Amino acid sequence: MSDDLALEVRELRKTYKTVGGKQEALRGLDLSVKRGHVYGYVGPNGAGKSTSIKCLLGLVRPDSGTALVMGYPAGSVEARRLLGFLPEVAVYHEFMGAEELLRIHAALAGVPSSERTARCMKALEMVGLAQRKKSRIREFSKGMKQRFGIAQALVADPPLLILDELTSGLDPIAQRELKDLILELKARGITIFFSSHMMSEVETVCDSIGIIARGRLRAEGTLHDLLRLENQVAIQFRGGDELLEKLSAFQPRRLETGDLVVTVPLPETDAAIDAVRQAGGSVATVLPAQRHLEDVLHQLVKAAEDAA
Amino acid sequence: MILRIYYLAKLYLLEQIRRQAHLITLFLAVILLMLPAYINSFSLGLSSFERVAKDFGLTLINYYAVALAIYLGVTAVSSDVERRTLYPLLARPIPRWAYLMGKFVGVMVVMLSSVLVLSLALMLSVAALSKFADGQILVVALCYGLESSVLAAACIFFSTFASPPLAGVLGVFLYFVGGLSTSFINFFLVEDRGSPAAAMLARLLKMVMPHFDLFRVKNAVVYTLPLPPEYLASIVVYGLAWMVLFLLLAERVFSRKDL
Amino acid sequence: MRRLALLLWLVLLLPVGAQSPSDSPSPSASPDEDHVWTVHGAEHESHADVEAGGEYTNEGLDAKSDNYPAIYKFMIRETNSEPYLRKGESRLVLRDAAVVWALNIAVIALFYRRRR
Repeated sequence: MSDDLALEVRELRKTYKTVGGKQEALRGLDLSVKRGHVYGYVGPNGAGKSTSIKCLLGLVRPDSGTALVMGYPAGSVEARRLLGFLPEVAVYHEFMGAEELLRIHAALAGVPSSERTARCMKALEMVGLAQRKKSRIREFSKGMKQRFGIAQALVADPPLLILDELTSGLDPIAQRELKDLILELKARGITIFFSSHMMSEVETVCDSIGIIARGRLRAEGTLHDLLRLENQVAIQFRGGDELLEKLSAFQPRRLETGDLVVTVPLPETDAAIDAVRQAGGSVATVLPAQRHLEDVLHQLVKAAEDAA
Repeated sequence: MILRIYYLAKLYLLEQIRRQAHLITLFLAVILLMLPAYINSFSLGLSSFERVAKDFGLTLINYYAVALAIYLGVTAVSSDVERRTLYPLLARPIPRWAYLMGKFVGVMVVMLSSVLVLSLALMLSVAALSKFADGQILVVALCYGLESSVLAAACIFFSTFASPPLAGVLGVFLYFVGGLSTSFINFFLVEDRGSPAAAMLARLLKMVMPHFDLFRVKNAVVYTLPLPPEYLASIVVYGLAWMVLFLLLAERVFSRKDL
Repeated sequence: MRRLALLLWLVLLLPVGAQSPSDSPSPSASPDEDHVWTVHGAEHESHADVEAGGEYTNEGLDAKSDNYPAIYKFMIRETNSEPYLRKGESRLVLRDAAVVWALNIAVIALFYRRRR
């Protein structure tokens, strides 16, 4: 394993026995997450995200393949010592107080008793729950429970965080707060591996992204790599609605900002700019064309399904 | 690792206290405190009230301990799985055997403390009327605690592969068949029903199950008989053997289970 | 699993059927005993009456018991027999314990040797 990798998964396979037969959840998954990176793990429901995360934690035994966490076999006590985990559904012992439960988690994570109080307070402060340390978990809102979940994942000060569906079901303000928290943790050098359905969230905070569909990784790379359209440019310009008709050959579309944009092959850039000017448009920017992550995901998932 | 088992047991214990499970024990303790006086009021001053009170009180403690063992044993692990509170716990550097041990120790503490409180209540209430504190009540109750601990370990094992209702049924079945006395089998199946084949089957089943009837030494207290220390020691060794066996099997199944 | 649970419940309920009045002759007074106490569990509500010398006597119970459900007949007989600790019982229990401990060692050897 390369020393600069926090997670390395090779040819991971897992088949579940079901009532009707068998269900292949992972079909040779490969994955690499660099240390210090924020890695977004996206894919549709049933793609194998949860199974692969469970394999990394040792909750599920893969049929074959290897998975290393910070250089140790996934699921080993050594590997689990170096990670913090936020489950998809943040359910905790509801009758316990926040600090009380956090202290037990700290003890279970092996934090020395002399450091427990300080670590718990630090984790609670980081997620903004220090004022509610005496409150019972059941008194918390969904967003607060999620923040408590991050505090319990952080309490042992692990170099790697695995977050399953970080912001699912949260309101936009809570989502924003958690995104800011992720950026803060990233600034501290913590490797973060998180799965999400929220494309905007992934686009905002991730250094690299992996797209999983039907149990295999279909694409992996930086956001720039995944979204770039090879040999195409996007010409953004200002103008009225009459330009939509005049430039219909280029299929222009209006952006949320009010500007218009056309995407053309690189060799046709000059011709397109001339056409825009002749039609009365004012060119604002000419940049390499990019897709939306949602489009990339949709395209890859469709291709995987067609291949199956 | 012992410290982690301690914290898992503590977490289980705190959760049970917050769920106010101990209030049932306290309610039964109040009943046991009043029981001898109540029975005495019917016995018209005859001396046997004490014997009846001990008999009835210890039977109540036995049934309560068994009910606790089955309920707590079946739900200890399965409730964590169903509520998914298991995931953040097992993501910690804790082997699965330590998790199971933590749960078992927690169940034991809840059960044994309940049995102890109830037997103390019975002892005190009998002593208040008879002017004699019979310490053997505690010994008998602890034997029930041992019996229930074996049953709880069995239920934890069942819950690692069966749904909670099925694990509960298996626990009741084990307790019922394993606890049949030989005289009971002879009477019902041989003499009363005339079915030696069924008796043979019952004996065979009992042979591979813990003999829960060995732990029921209530009559030593009821009939004021001695309880030989070597017998008590032998049932402790016997009970521990079964507990270890069930926990080993539970670990074997649970450690290979996809969660 | 559900079928298995149902089957087990049926097996558990079988003894309830055994409580129905039986035409079989009255039980003999000295059952063969393997274990510690002849009065196992003794969950007998009639105990108070018997011991307190109320309107029922042991003999009276025996005389009436022919028409009783089997479970009561069993309780009456157990109540009437003298409790005693069988000689050498501790050794028998230790023998059983040794068998289970041996099984434990076998389980450890079988399941955990490879893991180590």
